[in-house]
Amino acid sequence: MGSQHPSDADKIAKALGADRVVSLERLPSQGPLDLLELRADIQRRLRSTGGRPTDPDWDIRRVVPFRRERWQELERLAKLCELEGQRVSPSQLAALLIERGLESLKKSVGH
Amino acid sequence: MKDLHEALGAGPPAGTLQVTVFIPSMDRDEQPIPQASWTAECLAVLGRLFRGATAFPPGRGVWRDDERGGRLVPDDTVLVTSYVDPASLTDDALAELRAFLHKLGREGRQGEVGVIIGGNYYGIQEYDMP
Repeated sequence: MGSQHPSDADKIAKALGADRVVSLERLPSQGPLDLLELRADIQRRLRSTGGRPTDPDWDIRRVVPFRRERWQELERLAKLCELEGQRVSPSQLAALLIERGLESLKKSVGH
Repeated sequence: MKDLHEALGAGPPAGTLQVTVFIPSMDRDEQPIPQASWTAECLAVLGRLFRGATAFPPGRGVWRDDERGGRLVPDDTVLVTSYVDPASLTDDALAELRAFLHKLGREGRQGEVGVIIGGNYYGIQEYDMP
């Protein structure tokens, strides 16, 4: 129940006598802590085995189209996620964000 | 890598749900309320129900009272947080948490009392009578 299914939230709201419920997880961002958390996740997952650091669990490569502005955003964010000289590429960041988006979608539809 | 709990010499992970209660410093008329005793009571309730809780020092805050024309009420809020095993969030535990929150709202003369459970904020504005 770390992220509650809507029916859990309804049940809790009723049990507490709450007048309003605000979902925090659907906010696009909860502030600068989000970026710190994202950076920590990237640092945890990208490993170097001699070459450029990558996530050892990634085993498929695909070409994904982007709008130019989105790619530029990814470049900017990837730069912010670099730590101690470890380079993070925009495509690595995109892969991680897609995974997060899929997880979030799964939670919101209850699968 | 070892499981984190194994590496730390800890038991298996249990508290995966975050419960945070906001303890205000003022009532809706900007009169101070006994925040320290409300914090102590909240710690006791969360500790009893969920095995432990931590109160964080007050942070500067403000609350908009929409029922009074959107007036801003300054409020240095204490956050009391507990990491909870979801299995502990039983109907009985929620009932006891409700009793505390409604008492805080009623006796602390609050426009709203708030608690975060997991990924949701629950705001309570109408309080149970004792």
